[in-house]
Amino acid sequence: MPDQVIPASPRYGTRLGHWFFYIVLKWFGPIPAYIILAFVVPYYVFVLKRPRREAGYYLKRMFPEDSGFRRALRTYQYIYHLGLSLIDQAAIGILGRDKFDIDFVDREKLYELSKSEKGIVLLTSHVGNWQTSMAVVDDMEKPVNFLLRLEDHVADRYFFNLSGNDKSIKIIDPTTFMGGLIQVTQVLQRGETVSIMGDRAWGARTMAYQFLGEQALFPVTPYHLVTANGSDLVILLTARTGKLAFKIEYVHFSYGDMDLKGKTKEEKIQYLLGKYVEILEAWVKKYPYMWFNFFDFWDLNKEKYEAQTI
Amino acid sequence: MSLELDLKKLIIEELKIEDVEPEDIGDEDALFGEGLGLDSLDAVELVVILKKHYKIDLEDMEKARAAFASIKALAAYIRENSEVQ
Repeated sequence: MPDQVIPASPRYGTRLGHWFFYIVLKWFGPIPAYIILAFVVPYYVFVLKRPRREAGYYLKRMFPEDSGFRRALRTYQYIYHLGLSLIDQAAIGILGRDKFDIDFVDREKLYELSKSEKGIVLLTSHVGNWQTSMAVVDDMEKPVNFLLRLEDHVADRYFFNLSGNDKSIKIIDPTTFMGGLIQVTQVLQRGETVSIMGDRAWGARTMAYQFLGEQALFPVTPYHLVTANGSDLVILLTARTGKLAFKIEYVHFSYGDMDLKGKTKEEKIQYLLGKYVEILEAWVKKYPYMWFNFFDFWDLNKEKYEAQTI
Repeated sequence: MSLELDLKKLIIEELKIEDVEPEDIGDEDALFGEGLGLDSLDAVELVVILKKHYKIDLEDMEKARAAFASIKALAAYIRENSEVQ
């Protein structure tokens, strides 16, 4: 079976532009970077078509009553928040997490959970700034394994190169043999934690579920891992709550306590996916400019997804 | 019962493969892709089967790649690495 080829996320801006922001960050701190960002964003909103189109997939479901100028204003706010997130993501790597006020609700409980012999599937999403939350989980006693491709983007590389201690964060590359899932299963069997994104369908088996009023496609891999290994599921969400301030919350589902008896494998997966989507939707409605997903999840043409990914 | 037949029965049962009997699977047929048609999520189940029934951990991905080629290759891997057969 060939190794998977997973396309990169849509990224806005040039490499030179990104480096400019990193230099500003390093020399002057995040505030000047935020101010410059406010003047750069109109170019992406009013001049380029692609960011407008890709932001529209989500915004038209989140704010279906909008049109014209109001939609453009929403797009500005949305892209501006994406820029803030990218700046913060790099800033936490460059400046250190001590500069940030991170409110991690029930952090100690999560650390206790991670000590158990059962593995944990830590389900993250493209909300808030998930990389920021990872700077906190790298304190855990056992390694946290990330199923992700370090995309060709300086912010990601900065974060993973500069933050945390190397022993506690491990990367499993989803473009390797069997999408990295053999290694993922091994680490779960060792009682470690695997962090995986729940809101990116590319290259994976999917299941449709109602999200923001319409059926959308979500990957089933996290729930398959939970049911096959009897692992616990932790859904972790983050939000930017102010200047250099973040909130991290999570919901824990213990495998033994879940209502899975008598269900087929598919029903179990649907049940777990439903829990995730309900939690994600509530969070996205609370922080509407912080779900950074620029794909058309609501396009149920599965063939199209598969044709682009394998 | 041979190890190869055991594996075929386990795979059909644990992966819930419908309308396939053990005798339909050739020892050298590819398990993934065009052969039996398994995919990466089925690989998760295979790793669980190996751990549960044969107490095997697949640490080396190159060996895993070779072992997952066919029933014959998987059986050879188990014979080499497991004390439970």
